[in-house]
Amino acid sequence: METKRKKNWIDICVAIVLYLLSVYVFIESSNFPESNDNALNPSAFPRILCVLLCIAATALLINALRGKITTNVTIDNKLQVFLVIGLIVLYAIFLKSVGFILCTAVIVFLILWLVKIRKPLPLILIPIFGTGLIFFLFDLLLQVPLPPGLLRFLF
Amino acid sequence: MLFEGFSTIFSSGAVLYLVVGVTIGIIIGSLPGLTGTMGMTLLLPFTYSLPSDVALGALIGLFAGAIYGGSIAAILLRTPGTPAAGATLLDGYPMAKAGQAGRALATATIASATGGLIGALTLSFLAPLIAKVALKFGAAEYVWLAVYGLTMISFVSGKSLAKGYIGGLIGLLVATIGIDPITGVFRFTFDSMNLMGGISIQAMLIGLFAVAAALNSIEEYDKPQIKQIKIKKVGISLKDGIRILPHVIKSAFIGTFIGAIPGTGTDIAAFLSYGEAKRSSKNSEKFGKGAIEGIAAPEAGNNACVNGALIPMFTLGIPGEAGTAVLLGALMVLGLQPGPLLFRDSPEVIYSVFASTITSNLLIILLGLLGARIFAKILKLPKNMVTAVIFALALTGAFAMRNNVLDLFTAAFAGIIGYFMTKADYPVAPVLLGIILGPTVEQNLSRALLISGGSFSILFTRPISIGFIVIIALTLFSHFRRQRKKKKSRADIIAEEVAAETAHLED
Repeated sequence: METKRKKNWIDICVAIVLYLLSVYVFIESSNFPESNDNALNPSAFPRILCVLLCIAATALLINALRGKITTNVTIDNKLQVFLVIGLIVLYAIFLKSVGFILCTAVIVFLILWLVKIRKPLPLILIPIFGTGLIFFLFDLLLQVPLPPGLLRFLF
Repeated sequence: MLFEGFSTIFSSGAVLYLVVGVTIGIIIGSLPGLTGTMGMTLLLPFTYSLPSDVALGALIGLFAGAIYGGSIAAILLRTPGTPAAGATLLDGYPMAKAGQAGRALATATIASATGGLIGALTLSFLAPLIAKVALKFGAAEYVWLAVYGLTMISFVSGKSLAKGYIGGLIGLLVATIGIDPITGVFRFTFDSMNLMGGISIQAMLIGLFAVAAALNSIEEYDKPQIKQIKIKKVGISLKDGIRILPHVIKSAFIGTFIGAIPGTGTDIAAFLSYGEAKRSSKNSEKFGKGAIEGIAAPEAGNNACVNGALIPMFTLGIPGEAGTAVLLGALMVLGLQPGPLLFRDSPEVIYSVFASTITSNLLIILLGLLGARIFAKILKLPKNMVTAVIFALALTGAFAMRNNVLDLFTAAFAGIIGYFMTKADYPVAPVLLGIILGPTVEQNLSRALLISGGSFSILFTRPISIGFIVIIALTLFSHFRRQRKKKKSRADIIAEEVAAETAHLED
């Protein structure tokens, strides 16, 4: 599973996104109140940054159009990478409601499954002990309350 | 003062945390794909509840341990555990193949620790002097100092300066999210309570340096693990010790010096030390075939460099490369404002950290020689299983710091974006530089304007400022020219020579 894209469309897109970002920052910062004394206005620094950002984006765009920069993105094992990315996002979404122990055990199990670990022993023991270890370190040792979620009745 | 530092760390039990930090560092450094920067970001959530000097000591111990640990994989697997160990494998692996893995490991251990020790001592004596000068800086100088820190982006930009500076500017913009510290105005908070305090540096660190790296390991999950060379006896003879000593000392000073110049890194220090040892050695023809000096020099150089890089970080608040940038971020997360004021306001922290760095190098000798076999066993751990647990550890760490789901999302997105940025040759270290140095630039600019009554001329009239402006202009100009002409720096040339030498090493 390997793909190669020779075009500079990535850099061109990045430049366009940066221009849009700069425009947004300019509009948004026009709502900031001005400072009363000689201190820097709250809008000044972000605006200076945006001007510089536009200069850098223009340099990128020119180089990309002239073919001086070529950005190739090659991702091996795309399926695994994108599924793990999905898992991370789902983890962040469900951590509070489902709870730390279930979420963590499940994500570790699924990642192990995705990287083709099929031996039952590691597949079962690593999620359990990994989650247990992290729970011990944070919840018991550091006293950070991790969300109990669905396992609330246990605590 | 330094003695007080020692008595603090030994009486408060900080040494225990140091042992933990160095041990984790060696393990993480020895595992290819896991680096010291990743280790520091993963350890950071655990250090939050500790006194700041203990926490910093443990983090620096981890960093030093990781740079040393990289040599274990270089020697036994012919894969550098960290980029800094790239030069070590040139002679380390051939020596190990010839049945002397233990001798190679012991050389690396002793050289790393001695190099690190010399670097740490230099740091302890030099840093307070530099800080004394830097204490005279006013707001205008701080602006330029931070801008100079930002020009370090040029060094870490890789192929394209534009890409590096875009990353840096994005980081600077991200740093403006939250309450403006000068006027108290909400900026870019999208009316969210959670964003008022700004984006968590901690979560950004975990995302950019742990989650992104772990995603990279997922991509390479089907690469077979390399077979390890067996260790027989760990140790070197006195004769070996005498033979490497001059190279270790010389490399230690090269490493410290390279580290103290912002914009360089441990890998450059290692390759330069290797090149110098090869040039000056009587048996230079044996280099690349298992010369003991070829292991000692780069290892002494890279560990000395770790300590050298702490000099500008502590005294000026300028990170030289990704590792110190992460440390600087950690410093701020722990509630310390980096820079010369640290020496004036909390000298006890500084000196106990210095004592920790010196002690951590002694621990490397102890742990490295006694634990060589155990670390070699850990190297056999299936990498994919380690990666799965790292994801869980990183995400939990991001959440636990402030008990905040938003931080978890920050870490997740920073990780995903960081992964794709690296894939598209956009370096991630500049983003961190921007986030760290942004507030310094803005706040001091504002302070300078308050002092001058709104006139920007204050930025250009003081002599130290003008000195900085000249240095900044030279840095930018030389990099711009180099990129246009595709000229190579000396470090690049040496790295290429070394790469050419490795090519025929294939078995």
